[in-house]
Amino acid sequence: MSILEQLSRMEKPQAIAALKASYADFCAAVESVIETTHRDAIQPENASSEQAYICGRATQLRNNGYTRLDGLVVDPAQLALPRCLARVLHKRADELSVAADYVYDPRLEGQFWDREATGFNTRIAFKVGNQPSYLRPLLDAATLADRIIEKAIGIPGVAIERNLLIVDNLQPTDIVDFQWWHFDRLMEQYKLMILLTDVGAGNGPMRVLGGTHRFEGARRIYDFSIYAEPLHGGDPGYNVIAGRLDEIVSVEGRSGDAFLFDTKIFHAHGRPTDAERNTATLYYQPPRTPLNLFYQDYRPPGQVVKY
Amino acid sequence: MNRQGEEVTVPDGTWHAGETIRPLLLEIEQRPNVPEPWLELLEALLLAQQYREAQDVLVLARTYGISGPAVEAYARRLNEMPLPSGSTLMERERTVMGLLTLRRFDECATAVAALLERFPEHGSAWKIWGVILLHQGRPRDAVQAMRRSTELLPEDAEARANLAIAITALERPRDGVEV
Repeated sequence: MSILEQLSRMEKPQAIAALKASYADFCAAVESVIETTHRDAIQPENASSEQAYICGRATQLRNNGYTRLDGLVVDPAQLALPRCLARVLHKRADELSVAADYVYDPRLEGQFWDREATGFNTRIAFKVGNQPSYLRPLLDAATLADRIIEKAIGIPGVAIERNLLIVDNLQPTDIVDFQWWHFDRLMEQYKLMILLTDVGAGNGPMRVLGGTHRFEGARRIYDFSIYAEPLHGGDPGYNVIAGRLDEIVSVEGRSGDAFLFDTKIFHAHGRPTDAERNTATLYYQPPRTPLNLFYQDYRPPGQVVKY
Repeated sequence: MNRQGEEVTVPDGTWHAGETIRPLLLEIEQRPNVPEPWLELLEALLLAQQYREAQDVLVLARTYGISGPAVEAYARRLNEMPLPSGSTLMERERTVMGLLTLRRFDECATAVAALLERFPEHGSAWKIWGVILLHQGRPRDAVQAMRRSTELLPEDAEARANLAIAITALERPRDGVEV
């Protein structure tokens, strides 16, 4: 009897306890779900160059956990006001004395979502609530990413859904300590990061380690740790990154370029040294893939961190 | 075509960076603390009857510290802008949504009340009515309106979320979980 059949015959609390108690059973169950999930081969729907582009990017996204969409927004005028919004966030946060997370700004009608209280990370993330109309061109351009994600997921009936839009402002800093390498959650989830400013080594590019979204190698123990311990943060240790420094991809590019990734991939944004970095990131809901449904179905009580 | 020469079809945004406003947008970005391009952009958008766009630009301009009589004049003009009116359901809905978008809550309340009088089973109108009541500091009334909207729109996640927010405002979070 397969591990999934065994679990299905148990009461839910009993099944969850079994998964939490055994690394081997947890891995076997996850691998079984992955193996039995049919994902369509990534094939173009017609002979157009657009389909070729979508399929190429979808293949990269599925295999590597990320892909680049250079020149997603090519008109600089369409980036002007989004960039103005991003640039004013630091000033606005100071006006409102934002010192931590979740401060609502009634003027901009959004929420200061993330401001590191510790002070070493200069990132200010703003959740755009009642989306200003000047952000529409970015959201319209993102329909291309929607299609790439759907193709990459490749599971009939699994639709994608946009969740929220975050505008980021990272200020330059001399402090060395910055964002830890991390992954966002156990579940497959996608983000589209549109660069609002040119991004180079001097303004804290996002860095990723390709392929780490797959349930193999070191990430198996991280996923199990998160699953088994309600408050386990489970960020990858530096030892995981240290041996693969030459594989790190730095997301540099010009304003209007975009980066699409599965948030399970190990990633961290760099330290801005010379200039501020502005981005707009569209978050998607975790799609209802069999693995995400498995995690939801067997969610341990109290498990919230990175779930 | 993107910079790599790959053909990519991206639909046009509803914010059209037309030839009139393109240089203004670029100028604002270069010198966001200078009032003139903001004011010219507001004028261009009002002329084009892009009221929602003008409202958003006004908010951003103020965040950059752009103020003074000229700015207030634009704010007044936006508040006084006549919206399309009519008696058909679609026209009434358009009016309600326009007023809501412009945050003209008092006028919106009047328009929604009229809509509900004529179409009492209009789920979206109950939803908006609930939002207005909440905005007016009447969470108890808002909960009733929002409950009605969730009855009429059982698949509408936003209606349920609104109800949860209103219940939370009443400091009855346990009820929020139930919905």
